[in-house]
Amino acid sequence: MWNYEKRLQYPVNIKTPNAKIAQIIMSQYGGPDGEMGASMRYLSQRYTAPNRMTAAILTDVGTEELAHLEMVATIVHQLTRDLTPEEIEKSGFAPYYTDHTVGIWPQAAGGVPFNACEFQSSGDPIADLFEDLAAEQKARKTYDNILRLVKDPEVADPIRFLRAREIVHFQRFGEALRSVQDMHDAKNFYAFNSSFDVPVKCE
Amino acid sequence: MNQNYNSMNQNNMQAMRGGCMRTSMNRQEYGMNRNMTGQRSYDSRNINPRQNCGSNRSMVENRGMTERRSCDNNRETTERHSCDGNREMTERRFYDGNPEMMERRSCDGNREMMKRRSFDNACGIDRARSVEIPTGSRKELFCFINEVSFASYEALLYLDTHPADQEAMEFFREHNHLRNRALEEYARLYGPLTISTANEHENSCWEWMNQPWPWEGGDC
Repeated sequence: MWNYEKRLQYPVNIKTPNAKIAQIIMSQYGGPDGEMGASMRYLSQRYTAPNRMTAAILTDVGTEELAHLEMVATIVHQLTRDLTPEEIEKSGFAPYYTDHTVGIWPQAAGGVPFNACEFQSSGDPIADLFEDLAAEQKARKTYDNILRLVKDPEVADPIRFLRAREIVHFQRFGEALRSVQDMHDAKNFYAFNSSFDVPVKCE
Repeated sequence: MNQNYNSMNQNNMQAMRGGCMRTSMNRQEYGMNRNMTGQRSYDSRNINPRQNCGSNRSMVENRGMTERRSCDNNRETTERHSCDGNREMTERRFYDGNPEMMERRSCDGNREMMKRRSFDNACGIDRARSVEIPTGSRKELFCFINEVSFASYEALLYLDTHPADQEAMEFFREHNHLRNRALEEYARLYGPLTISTANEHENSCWEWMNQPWPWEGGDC
């Protein structure tokens, strides 16, 4: 279960609002490769983890993704502070503003609302871990795309931190995948689903 | 005594900015694994059936000798002599080349020789005890907590997949110790950041909700 601390994992202090960039960064909140999808994915997959290492890494990375979710929301919140209606119209922020004012609501940059189709929890540990590896790369790619568009260093700084964390998570999931493969038959990894076919003793 | 803090602080600050601890922890890059034949494989394609990324090479003889070589060269050799029942020699080499050799002879009952060479003999918590928590200003202490917590969390993730790495264990102990001290100090001076450091029975009013919320900004 979760406790929280009254601090962000990495500080976010943005002084200049910018509604245009806020829409783009919103994608990392509720978009297909965003932190909400990432945390829900890992925290959902951990129940059918076949060994302790995988369960631990899914829980701990999932928790960290919740912290990243908070950071992204903070970035969007600080970018949409003190906006005038003229600025809202000029930046193209008006459609989101109409439905949500400057509230935080999970959607992709293109407007698709966050939904559970953005992730899968397949119950097969090899499939799940490969998806997790891909998810971290997708998140890293999105941050790369955001960094190409962002000019403000106060915005780029936390984004760069988040991007580096995705790469580290990729490493950890790779190691967990290796541990799961080690549990399986060396001649055929797919001979059975270690989360379902045999009663697995947690090591 | 601030010497320790400054050098550690520099490392942690740099590490935090970079998003990852630049220690031996993150040296190995998954996805660039070489198997025994020097080829890089990402998947389970069996070029050489027993020598592939993630697949264990096992050779079982009558004496019960198993040798596993995984692609990060972490070699674990276990030799058991099951005919005389009790002798077990285990040699484990962790990926930083640190040999840990334990030899137990339970047949003569009491003799147990353990030889461990750890990377750094100083205890992490001892090192941590000599570091002064910066309490000059709220912002400084808050930043210290961010940095030390980041180091702890990074070590935690690493230890999840490398549970036997002694160096990482010491690193974690050291930084977690500092983190706990710093959180207590912060709660004492400025109010709690966590519910476990909230000491509400000293207040007449619920202070927990009055602490600044993280998205308001202005820190570090």
